Amino acid sequence: MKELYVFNFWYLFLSIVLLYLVVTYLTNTYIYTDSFYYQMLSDKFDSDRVMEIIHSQVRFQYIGYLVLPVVILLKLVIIAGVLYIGLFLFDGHSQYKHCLNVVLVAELVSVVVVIIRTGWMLVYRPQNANDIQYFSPLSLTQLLNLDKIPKYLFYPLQLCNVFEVAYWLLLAYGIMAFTNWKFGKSMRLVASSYGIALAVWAVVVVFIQVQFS
Amino acid sequence: MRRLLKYILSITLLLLLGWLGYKIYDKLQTQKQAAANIAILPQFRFQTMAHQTFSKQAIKDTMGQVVIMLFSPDCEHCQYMAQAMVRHKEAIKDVQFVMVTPFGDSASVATFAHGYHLDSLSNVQLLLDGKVQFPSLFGSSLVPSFYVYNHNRLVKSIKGETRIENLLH
Repeated sequence: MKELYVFNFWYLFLSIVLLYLVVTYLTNTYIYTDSFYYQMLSDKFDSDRVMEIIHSQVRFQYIGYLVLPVVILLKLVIIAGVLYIGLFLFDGHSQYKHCLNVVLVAELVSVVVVIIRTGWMLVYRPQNANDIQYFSPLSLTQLLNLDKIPKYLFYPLQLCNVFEVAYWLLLAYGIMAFTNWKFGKSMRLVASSYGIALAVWAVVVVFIQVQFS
Repeated sequence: MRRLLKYILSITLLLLLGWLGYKIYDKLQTQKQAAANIAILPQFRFQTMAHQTFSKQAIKDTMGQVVIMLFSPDCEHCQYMAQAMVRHKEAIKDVQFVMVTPFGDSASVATFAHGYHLDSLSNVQLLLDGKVQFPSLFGSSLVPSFYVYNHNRLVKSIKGETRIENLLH
């Protein structure tokens, strides 16, 4: 079991980054097209302003490709740090690099989510910004009437999805592999470290949304 | 040692969540109260660039169309809106614009008004909100925000940059 997590971090990291870059490129090329922006913005802006926004958007896309690996690395480093602190406080003994590998394997779930989202949107083209913002496959939001829910609750509700459960399970499996704990104990560790961090993050996002609305 | 760290971390997180929760609740309450306040153009007191008080009573005709705009002289979207207002000055000549900012002093607002030729529009009043009352009064601190009134009643509110046509009733 432990052997599954013994690999070169950078090889898998770069493979994941490459996948994200390909999906982002496809999204930018085939979903976020000029006509999509025009359709989305023409009610709000004059046509010359829409063209200005589209041009600046293209510039930002290039910056986005450069920033993407840094953002992914930062996410991995932070979540691995949270798990490591959790392990330390839970009387567990593990190395930070083990936590990093566990988080990197779990990141594959996020890659799958992004691929599904993009694939879906390539088939069913979004007509406006809401189609993108509110589309969260297999999440709680799909079971609720979004018209009756305040916008600031969308993000926490979107976090409650099947893929998030799979992410937790993979984290717990990875912890189990390195600590030789039972699965239940590993899951408790994930809930009390990553789970709490995720809850705090969700509250921070709600806070920002409410403060700037 | 570990137990102590656990306690410290738990208390810190609880305090953080408590503070965030309180701020979220407080802001939502303010917004709820503001939504009720602004249905009819509320009483306000801001300052002109000459540091004189400007209140609702100073608006020439509250029965006509009045647009209250929250802006910041440094905000790119506000600068674009200022340019659009000057470009569409004929279309907006019967609309009274009250532009309020808590984000600048009289010098920066004067530079903004002069730089974007807003000072050439007689129906535009630029005001300073030194006491930062606008967010609690109107429920928004997002720039630019627009509150369109007609016959003293709120017709629509718009957050973010928009077409001038959207501000006309």
